[in-house]
Amino acid sequence: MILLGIETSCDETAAAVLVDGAVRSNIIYSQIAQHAPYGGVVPEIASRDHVRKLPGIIREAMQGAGSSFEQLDGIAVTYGPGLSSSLLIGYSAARALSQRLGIPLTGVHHHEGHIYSVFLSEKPPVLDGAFPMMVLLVSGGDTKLVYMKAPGCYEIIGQTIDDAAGEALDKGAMLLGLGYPGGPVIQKTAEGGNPRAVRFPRGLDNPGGEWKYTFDRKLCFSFSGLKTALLYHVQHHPESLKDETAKRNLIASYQEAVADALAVRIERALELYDCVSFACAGGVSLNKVLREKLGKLSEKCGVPLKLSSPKLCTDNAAMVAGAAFIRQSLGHPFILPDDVNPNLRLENWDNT
Amino acid sequence: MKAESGIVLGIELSSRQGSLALLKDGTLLAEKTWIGENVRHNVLFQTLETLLGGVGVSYSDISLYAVGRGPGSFSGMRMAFAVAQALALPVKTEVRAVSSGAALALAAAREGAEQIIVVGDARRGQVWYGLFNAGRNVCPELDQEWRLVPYKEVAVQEETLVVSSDADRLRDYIPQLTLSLFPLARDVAALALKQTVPEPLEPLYLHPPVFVEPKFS
Repeated sequence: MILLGIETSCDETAAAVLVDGAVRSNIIYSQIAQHAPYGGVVPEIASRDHVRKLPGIIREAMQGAGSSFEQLDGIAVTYGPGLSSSLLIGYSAARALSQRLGIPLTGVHHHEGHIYSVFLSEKPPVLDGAFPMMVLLVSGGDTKLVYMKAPGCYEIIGQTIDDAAGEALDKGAMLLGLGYPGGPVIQKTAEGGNPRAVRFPRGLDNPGGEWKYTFDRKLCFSFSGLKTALLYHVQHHPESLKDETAKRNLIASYQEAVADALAVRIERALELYDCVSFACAGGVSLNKVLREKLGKLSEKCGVPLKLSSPKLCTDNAAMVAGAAFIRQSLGHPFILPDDVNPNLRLENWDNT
Repeated sequence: MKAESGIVLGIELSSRQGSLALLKDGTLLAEKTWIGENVRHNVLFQTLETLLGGVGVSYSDISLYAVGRGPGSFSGMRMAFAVAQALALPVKTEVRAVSSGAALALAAAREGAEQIIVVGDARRGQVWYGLFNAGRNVCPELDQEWRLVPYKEVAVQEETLVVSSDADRLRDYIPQLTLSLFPLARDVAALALKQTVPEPLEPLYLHPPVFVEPKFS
């Protein structure tokens, strides 16, 4: 089965071709340079750029895979969640192309793409022996823990109550004047720094206060206090930004706090739930400190860890086509969405 | 096959009336229009199928895609380009962009007008407008650049016909606005066939994408 994947949910314009679930091409055009001056994604810039770039990116993905359009068996497109005006471009192009070629179109939840990216490579995906699986989903827009008894069976057991992990890195980097996006620039400038130089909060450390969420507090995340702590630290210790070593230590400590907050929650989740593997997916899963911590956790608890290859961590279309392939190969039919849905919820396959 | 002697699919989504049309050798074969306050995806894609099926045309028969590039609804314009360029991908069919304003001026010229102002609601207290000269048997031509001005600064000479697809919203501000029309895909397709200078293959945006200062510049 040859599938074309299309992804335009935020600021990456991407297309990919998968043959029987094996990645044959994975083309990503990142708009980071256009958004960097604003310190975050500007939706209008994103959608204008998607229109400009998508046809060429699709063509490149097809050429990269050595496939012709007539050989395609289906098209998979992200239809939510994401920026409405960005989702619209990929959806419109995908639906038009599927009608033009007379082949099925399926809509894919963006987070499902990230989740199944941990199974993707140049070879067909193998899911045997991976479930039940705990997934830490970490990106610029979301941070949650998803317990999966089986493929297509999602139970959200914890999530952030304010900022996402990627957002915390972006905002921290902005506060320190490091630029955008925060994750890569923090990782680079923290190199060689002492991660224990400054003690930052890990979020929801104190048990007091009203808890209005249905989730277990111990499995939830909060990064707004971390950001405020960084602000106060800089205000009270302005010298920490002037001395290179002190600045490196500060940034390393901030990065450590984000990675540790994530690792601690998944460790708790693994203690509470019966899992035969655990995974981390999404853009923040590229972070080296986080990857090291999760690797050590895997050794400590004896549960295998699944991570995506670096090119499949940030938004891409291979994960979209991959999720569609896995869903279809496990006997769940394609779904043709009528429209994009910026607030799309993660639904179990049995309910769709 | 040369576009001029084949089948053209016109796609016009820049106003709240969507429109698709097929021209064969320059003559209208079929056209479908629909009204949607918001972009309605299903309607567009279903209409596309019924339009082609109704006259027995397949995608492989189409030799040119003509897209209305606005000015107008950002979402509509973007959808039109995304759809046309995707349809064109498999056999590298030609895509031409056409001013939706010129299509509206062409429709107004059929009413007998020679000096035409095409005006639209740019929101945020502004209108966009363009002055077109329409001679006999000639495509309407934009006299100067499109302008973006506050509602009250639209100057209209007596002999000029003012046409808009936002007439219901703009009549209170522009009393001379007498003609309410929507750009049609048939006119977009016809103008694409007569095009001598290619227009950029992207929507005609009259607003910049952002209104805030960059943080790190």
